[in-house]
Amino acid sequence: MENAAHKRQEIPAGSNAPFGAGFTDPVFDSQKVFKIIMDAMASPGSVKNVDVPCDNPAAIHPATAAVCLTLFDSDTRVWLSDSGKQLADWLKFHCGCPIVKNTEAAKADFAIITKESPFPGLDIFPVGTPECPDKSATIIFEAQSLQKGVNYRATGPGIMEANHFSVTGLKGELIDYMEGNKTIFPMGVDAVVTGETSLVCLTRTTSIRNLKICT
Amino acid sequence: MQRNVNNDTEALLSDIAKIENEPGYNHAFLDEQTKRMVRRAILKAVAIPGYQVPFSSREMPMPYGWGTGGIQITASIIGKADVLKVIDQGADDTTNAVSIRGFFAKMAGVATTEKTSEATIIQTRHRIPEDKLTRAHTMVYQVPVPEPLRWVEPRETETRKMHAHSEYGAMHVKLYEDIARHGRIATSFDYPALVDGGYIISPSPIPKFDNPKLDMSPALQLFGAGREQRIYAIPPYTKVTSLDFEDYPFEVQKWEDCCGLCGATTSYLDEIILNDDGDKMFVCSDSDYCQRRCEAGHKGPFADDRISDEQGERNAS
Repeated sequence: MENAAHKRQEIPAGSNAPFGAGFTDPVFDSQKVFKIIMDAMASPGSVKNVDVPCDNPAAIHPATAAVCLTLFDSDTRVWLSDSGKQLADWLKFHCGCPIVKNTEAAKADFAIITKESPFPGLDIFPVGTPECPDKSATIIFEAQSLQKGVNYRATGPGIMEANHFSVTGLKGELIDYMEGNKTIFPMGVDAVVTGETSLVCLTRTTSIRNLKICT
Repeated sequence: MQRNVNNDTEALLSDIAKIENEPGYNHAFLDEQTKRMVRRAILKAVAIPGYQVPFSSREMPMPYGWGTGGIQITASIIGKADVLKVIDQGADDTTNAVSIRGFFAKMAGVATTEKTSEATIIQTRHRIPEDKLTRAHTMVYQVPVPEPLRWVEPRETETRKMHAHSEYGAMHVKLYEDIARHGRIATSFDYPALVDGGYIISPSPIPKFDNPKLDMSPALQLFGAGREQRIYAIPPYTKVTSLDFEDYPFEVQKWEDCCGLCGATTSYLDEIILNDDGDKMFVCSDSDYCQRRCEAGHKGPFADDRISDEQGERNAS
């Protein structure tokens, strides 16, 4: 309703208004986005549309920006693959979250691997311990789009039979990594893959198959 | 302040738009940073089915044991469009259920209902509704003791290791002791269950009658323990197995009687003592289910003794 007036826009690098607008209504918008993430986490491999507007820095997708505004605060250490100043400043301004140094990825609660960055190898992030598997990172992994592209089939807890999703521009290593990730259960990382305004979650219990190889 | 849902969707939506929560408080009582902390714990709980995620539980305006864990989960997930149902031992009209429903009607300005089919969030103390749940439901359980191994091993450091290494032999020994002593597994509530072949959970003190409903449930199930500061979850469509032995398979309670009011033979029944002579009747613990069956014309042996609300008020005064 009140959100209709606000159109989502990307903040270009070097803009005079470097921070843009966060959520129009922080309380209810973050609740809406959280519900979307929770549903996605509870049904890995199902693509969800994040239809809550907020301005996003050029380095990240609108969906990624919405996830950051929803989950990050001064208690979450965030690791960034993007060394640009704009994204770090945007996060500090809107979320107040500490940004961990490149070499300290093992301390990160969240990591954002932006669409333009190379695959950093996920071994650098914490996977928790057998006693405390929740002390592990959640990786926000940007693809180009979740509308079309390579088809994957996800099975596991949360999924009735199988969930199918398509991704363009996802570095294939992520899927390989998530498969290996499964073998160290209960330890492991969980991933939120974003593309434009949608997202899909892959948890440490999700089995992912590339359909081209499968069939 | 309690608002019941009516069938007219448009009227409902405009009703919701008009509802404001109590001035001076944030939506759903908790502050935003607390909600984010609880939300992050919920996400990890969903990602690691059955693992108890520690969270820094807040003081709530009601005592521990009244469902402070469940309330913090509900407060963190509830939005304007949600419709909340709260049950206590299956009933919508008991003190705990009425106060929690009132709390959220006031603090979150959400619509509340007694009908399972209309609810999007069902906060429950110790029952799962008789009606089939759907993907649109989120179950929130109030949990007093989240650690199923606590009665076997009092040290948290040890139970953590036992979970980490799936060292669950002691749990089977506990059930075996039941058989040695009583000739059958006498545990009748809080019956331990294995989630997706990984963690053993305490399904909160629901009767073991409800354990089969945990298995492959289409609803997301969240468990909150406020005093013990733990959140855990069972994602939808997840295998949940109640522990048992080959020669003593898991069984649920059965009754020889039917519900005195609606005549149901497949629901969970509460025993009610009627007088000093020990006469008794059984009634469905799920009050919404029983009510609907009565309205549909089903009759149990005590149906004609039922008094209307009007009569009840007259009798009381």
